[in-house]
Amino acid sequence: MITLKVNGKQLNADVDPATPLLWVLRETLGLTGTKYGCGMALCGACTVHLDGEAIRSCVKRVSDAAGKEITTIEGLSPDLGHPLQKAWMEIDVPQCGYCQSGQLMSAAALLAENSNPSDTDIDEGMAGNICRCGTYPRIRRAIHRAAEIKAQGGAR
Amino acid sequence: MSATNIKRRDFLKTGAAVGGGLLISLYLPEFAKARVTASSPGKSKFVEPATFAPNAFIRIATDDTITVIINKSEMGQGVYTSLPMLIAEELEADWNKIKVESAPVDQAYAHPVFGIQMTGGSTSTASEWERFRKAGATARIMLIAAAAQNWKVGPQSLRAENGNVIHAPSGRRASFGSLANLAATLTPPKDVPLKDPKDFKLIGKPTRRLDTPAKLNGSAQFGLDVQIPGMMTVVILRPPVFGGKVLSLNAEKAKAVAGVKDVLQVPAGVAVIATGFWPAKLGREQLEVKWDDGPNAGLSTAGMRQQYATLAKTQGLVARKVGDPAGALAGAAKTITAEYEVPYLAHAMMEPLNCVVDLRADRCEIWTGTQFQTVDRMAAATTAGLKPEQVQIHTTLLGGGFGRRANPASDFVIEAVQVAKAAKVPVKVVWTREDDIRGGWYRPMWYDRLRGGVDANGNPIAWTHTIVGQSILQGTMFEQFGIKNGIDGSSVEGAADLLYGIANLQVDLHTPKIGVPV
Repeated sequence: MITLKVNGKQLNADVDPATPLLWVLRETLGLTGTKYGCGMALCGACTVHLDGEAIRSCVKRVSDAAGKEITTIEGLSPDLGHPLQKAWMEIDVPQCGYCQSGQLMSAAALLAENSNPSDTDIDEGMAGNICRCGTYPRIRRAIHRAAEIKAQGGAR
Repeated sequence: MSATNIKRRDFLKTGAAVGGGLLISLYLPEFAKARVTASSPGKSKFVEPATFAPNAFIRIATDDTITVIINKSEMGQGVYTSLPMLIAEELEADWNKIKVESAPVDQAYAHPVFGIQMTGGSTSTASEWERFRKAGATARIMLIAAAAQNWKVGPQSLRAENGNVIHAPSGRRASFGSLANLAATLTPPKDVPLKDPKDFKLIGKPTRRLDTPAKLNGSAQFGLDVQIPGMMTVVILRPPVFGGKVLSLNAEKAKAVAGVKDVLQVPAGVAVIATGFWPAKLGREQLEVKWDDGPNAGLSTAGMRQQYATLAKTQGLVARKVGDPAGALAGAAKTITAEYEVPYLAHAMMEPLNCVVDLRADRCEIWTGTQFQTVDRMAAATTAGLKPEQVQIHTTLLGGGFGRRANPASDFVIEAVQVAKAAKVPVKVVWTREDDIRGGWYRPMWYDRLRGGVDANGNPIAWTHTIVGQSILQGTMFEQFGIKNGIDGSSVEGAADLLYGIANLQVDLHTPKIGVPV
């Protein structure tokens, strides 16, 4: 039995310790917002936060996540109130939407570290997240917009 | 049958929705029986006929909620917003009250031009332009008629605006929801005039996507997210060569993996049935299989490229010929020859293929992100030994489609039904990314040889284009209208209909038969 702290809640998972965190989140805990895209940390769809750091949950052993603060897209905010979510809605970023959980989690880690990222900072910080629909220009705009919202006091 | 053949009185049949409300529906007796809401798999609730029927484009509830039932698959192109806009425009609805639901499979939801329920070819909004607007206008007229009856005034003294019917002379107003029950009892109008485009309030205006919020908090449901009670997760070991077959299988080690429940030989290969994706994948890695590589054993990219290059130097079936291209080339001041190659391309949707199947003795329910509902349902029915009307498909959001989810061969649906049949439990078949890339149904590999000739002034006078590549329509139900005189129209699209006015032109096509599914 592994105890995980996910989105502020202690949850138990009776799984093989070598199971990637992604599948424990999705199948054992029912948090399906975190997506499977490649299973090799190549696409970023599975990005979650581990103690605030953006990591690829598809290659992270669940046992290595035990005792750490795990945040998934479901825990980014309780009410779509995160500056990134607000900006994403304002700019209507997603198309098919499949990669967007990962995009948002990567962007959230970036913004937490750098409250006013440049285009270059964004391109570098987001390079590991693939979008097959090609929403990159809107993602970039939305991160800038989120930085503004955050600066104006919209942050939590 | 195309939707335009649906009898008008059927189209306009209306009825009371469960819990009250107005339903503008198509008459679909076969699915009035039972239905599970696509939005809540696993929380199925069967409902009585003539109450909450799925046979509708619009459902107006007494709480003013307007549900638009969408017969197109949302894969990022925005149909869950654009099609409701068509209805809301004519209905004069409050955009904030619009919700969407994916349509079940039925002929009444067929593409108005193609005659089957499908999404593709960048045709959704254009082809539904009139039908969805008429559905909205019909509802508006009936709501106005209901208000007229309530207030004992002429309907011409009323107008609908932002989800309300308004009687300007008296200042009275009633919300659509408050009128829905009465409207449901009225006779639908015969004439349904549509707005003049200059009066559009929504159409043509930037409008926020209805599906965005759910895509920002993890609540959006893609096929891979579907969970139904008792479901097992399955990965399939497919042959290393297209068309290969299992010669021998040793599943002992695979079955020893914790969480693996069964290993089954299925037509697609070897299916590992497990409690989740990870044990299924671990189990698959432990399979010991000897394969018969079959007729494609010797197939190689190098061999195909050579075959194509050789073919490209000979004339194929002529798709278009103008003037005397050979003569013009021979007489040209200068000629240029160029060869172009593109490899097979996997569609590589962000969401790998997946399909959930709950197969019972007398029915089959499928949850998947498909672009090809009618075709997939037929294929699933044939595979399951059921009638098409015993099969229902719940279309989830698609994490990209690009045509891979519009396969005339219904490969990912058929194999999931085959697995469900063998496993005798509800299954979710998941393709790994590697399965997706290796799994075929690619955009074909192409080899194009072009020759052009210019006259002394440098003006183009001759153009020949030989195309070599597999047909994507050959052997499918679309063959009869897609292939003319041996030429698959999609193989020469953009080439045979070249827009430049070159006086001497020829486009010809070789269609080799190769064992790679495209």
